[in-house]
Amino acid sequence: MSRVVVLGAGIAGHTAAAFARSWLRRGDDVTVVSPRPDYNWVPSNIWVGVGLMKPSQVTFPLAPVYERAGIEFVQATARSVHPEGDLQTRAPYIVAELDDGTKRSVPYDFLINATGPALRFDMTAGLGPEGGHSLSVCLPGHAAQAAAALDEQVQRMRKGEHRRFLVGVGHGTCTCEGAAFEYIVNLEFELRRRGVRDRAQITWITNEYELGDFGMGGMHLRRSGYVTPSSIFNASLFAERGIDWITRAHVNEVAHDRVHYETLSGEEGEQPFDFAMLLPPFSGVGLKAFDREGAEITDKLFMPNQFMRVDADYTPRPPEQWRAGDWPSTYQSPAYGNMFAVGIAFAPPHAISTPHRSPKGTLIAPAPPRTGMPSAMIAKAVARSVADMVRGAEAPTQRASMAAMGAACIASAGANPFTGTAASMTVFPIVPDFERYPEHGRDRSRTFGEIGLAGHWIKILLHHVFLYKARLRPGWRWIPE
Amino acid sequence: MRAERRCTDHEKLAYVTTPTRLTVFMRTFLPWQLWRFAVINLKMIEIIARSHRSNPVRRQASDETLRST
Repeated sequence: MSRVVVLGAGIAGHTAAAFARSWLRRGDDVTVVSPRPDYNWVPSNIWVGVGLMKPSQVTFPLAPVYERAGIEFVQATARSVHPEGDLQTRAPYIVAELDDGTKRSVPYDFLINATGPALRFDMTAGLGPEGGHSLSVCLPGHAAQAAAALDEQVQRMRKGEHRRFLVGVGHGTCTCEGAAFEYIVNLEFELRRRGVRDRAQITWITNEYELGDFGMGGMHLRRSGYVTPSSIFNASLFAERGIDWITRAHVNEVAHDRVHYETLSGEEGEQPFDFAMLLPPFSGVGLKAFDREGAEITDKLFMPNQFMRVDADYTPRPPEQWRAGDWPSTYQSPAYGNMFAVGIAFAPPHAISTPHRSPKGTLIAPAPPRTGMPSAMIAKAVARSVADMVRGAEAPTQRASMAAMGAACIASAGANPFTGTAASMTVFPIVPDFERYPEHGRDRSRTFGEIGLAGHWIKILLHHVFLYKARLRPGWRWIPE
Repeated sequence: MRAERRCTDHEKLAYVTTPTRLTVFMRTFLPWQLWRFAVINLKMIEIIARSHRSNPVRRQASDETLRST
């Protein structure tokens, strides 16, 4: 009998727990420890943020799903890992804090860390909906707040006022530019649909070196006899929609009516707004680790950014020496063979986009994305490895390197079954492999993108299919990640 | 290093690729989009299948590991 503990119930954690349960024997236990009671299909938060969906349409309670599946659910926040146990017991365990502040130990034989990111609004003064001056769509509650603020702005515009909208990222090291991109084009579409577009000035602010970078160094697409960078398509869409943009920017401060930023060229500027949706930078959730004697070994398990060390090559190298082989493939901790990290919780070896610094030394570089499809695929591979190791395999049996897998992504650009559009994109591989594909790092025949209504239909389809799958309804295993 | 791009109306007109009216029309033209729905789904299925296919080689290794234990 073995006990597999999964920390976190987001896309990666939920996938890992569900597959581990289905592959392990009846006598083996699977426990999920997560601070939130609900599952959230995060990609659809964008539609909550523009008022097209309610939070209840992108979430569902986890407890009944886990009860039906035979997974133990502990609603608590993981605080520390004790991979060697302690002086009383040699069995490894984690300590989690319940809502009422009491601590609970949860023993494990195998641990899958899928804690996701800590939303670091605190890294930029005035950033965020909790005590700051900007909005977010990271959580369903944040997105509902953004939708209410948008309604208020629309009311004012209907009375004849002109309003300024600012959307993008609130720090030079943010990731998830793709989500902010979806939000700005959906916002623009909604303002048109509500008949107030002519009274809105919309601006995009980003840490990307060029538009369309999305933290993965952009991509190259074949179109009309040319291979063109994604920046061309992104700029084209913004120009077509009348969206202004500021690139290569680090937001220093969000005041009540403007952001102060610096750029890679050293320019310091400010951008006034009446409505700002700015995504925060991420870090790990700050799990502490202790050895058997109680001495802190957090540095041994986690990087300074609090993401977990796995089987990546973390040797610092200049971008021209980055290799596909630097990226992890088994997601096993090098320190403890029964610990894994999946989704955003694993520490990437380096960025994908080339990092830059401003003349003042400020790092302005998108962090690598590892959400959605790749995080679910990694979680499934790790669940299989863990199930095999429970049955006696001595090492992880599965590999799922982001440098060897592709990703399909649909970025909504307006939600309507007849007039809406979405950008449909595929890349292969996610992390460019210049040894295999010397020209652009990716397989050009499998990297494509186009905008159209068909993409919106697929986006709607995926919303329903993935929520069905996450509810572990009949046949869920056959729906791909 | 190039200067940061701060989009202005002039730049939009002068430097940015913009779609033709036909391209914009085709984005929501139902018959064409029904076709593209099928094509895009096939492309995505290929990517998904290809990404999953990277595992069986290792599965073989894992089976050998299991047999040896």
